[in-house]
Amino acid sequence: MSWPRRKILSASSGPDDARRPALESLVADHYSFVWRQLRGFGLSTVDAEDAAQQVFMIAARKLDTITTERARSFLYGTSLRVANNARRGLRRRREVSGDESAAAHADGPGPDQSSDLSEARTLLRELLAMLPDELRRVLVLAEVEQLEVQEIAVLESVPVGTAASRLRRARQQFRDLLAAAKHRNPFAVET
Amino acid sequence: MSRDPIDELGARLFEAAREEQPPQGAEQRALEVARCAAVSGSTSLSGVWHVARPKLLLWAAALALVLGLVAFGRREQPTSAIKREPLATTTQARASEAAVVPQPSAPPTASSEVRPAPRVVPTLARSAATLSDELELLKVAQNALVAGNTGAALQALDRYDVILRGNKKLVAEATLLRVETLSRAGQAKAAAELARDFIAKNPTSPLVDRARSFISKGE
Repeated sequence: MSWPRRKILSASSGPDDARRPALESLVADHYSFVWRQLRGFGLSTVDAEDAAQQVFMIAARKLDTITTERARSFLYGTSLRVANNARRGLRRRREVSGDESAAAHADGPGPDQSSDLSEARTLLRELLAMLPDELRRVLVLAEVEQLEVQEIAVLESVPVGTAASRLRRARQQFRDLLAAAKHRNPFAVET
Repeated sequence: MSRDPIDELGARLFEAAREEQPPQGAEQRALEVARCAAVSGSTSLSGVWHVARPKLLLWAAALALVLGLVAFGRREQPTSAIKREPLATTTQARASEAAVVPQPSAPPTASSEVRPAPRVVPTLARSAATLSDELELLKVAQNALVAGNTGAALQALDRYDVILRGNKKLVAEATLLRVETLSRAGQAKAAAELARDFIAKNPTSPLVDRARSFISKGE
């Protein structure tokens, strides 16, 4: 039996060779972006790492179909699907175990994180979780990844006008939520 | 004009999110797992999910090693009747490492003579399996298979099954290696039967497709 020929670690042969990323460069160039997106989608640090692995496993399987230009779009879409699956699984587990506390405490400050930053990220995640999914996603892309509206529209596969409208609404709703939660300001100096 | 405090707070929250870094080593672990997925052709996380955990990273490397060696070790060999040597067992437990002393193998012949199996110094009798032990035995089996000595490969796999006890982590890989060895030893039907049994017991294993490839050969 012949082992299936699979260009695994390098770009596949063909006319688009130069435009296809190698697996190593795909991971090196996009891992942090994928991980932050998964965190923005509401996953804990542990779940985000597991989900990121699954994203790149899928990418490795489909490496021949990914071009350099479309790599981020592919990874973004894959991250979204993987995150949705992960969240469904988490909800099912919590329903079964009745354990709501584990997730809330899943992201305590690491050894190299200040508690202010950790609280800030926890607060941000909670506020983002209150937004509708489509608004949360564009807000994260704009404010965390600092992408332009045109780039957001490409990743979300929507017209630029739609992306701009969603971003306006997302910013307003987020501001309202933050105003209601300002007493939890992790950077406030106690007097 | 000073910034609105709410906007200032929002900006600082997003800045904190921008500065958040993945856990140390996470990127490398993801690359290792992705490489394994590319080799095995599977995106199932059932066997690879916990590779994220540093202490189990070796598992993914072992999987890639076994699959990679099997993939590049294919060679046609003449069909020959294989007489399996009795297992080398001990009556006393030993703590020393196994030493496989390969004997020079006889050149392939057209007759049904069995290749002499390497003399195996029995050891690791019924000892608790560590990942290193498992890898070592599977490497012995793989090297024998690559050298065309299916008898020795089966013997090493028998030792893997019998001598190493405890919760072994590479059972699936050992089974696939046995399937391949049986197939190359001319025992296509036995290989197919074992492959079918493996698939029935491990329907979500990333190795299912590979196992399935041996079923058609045996029919």
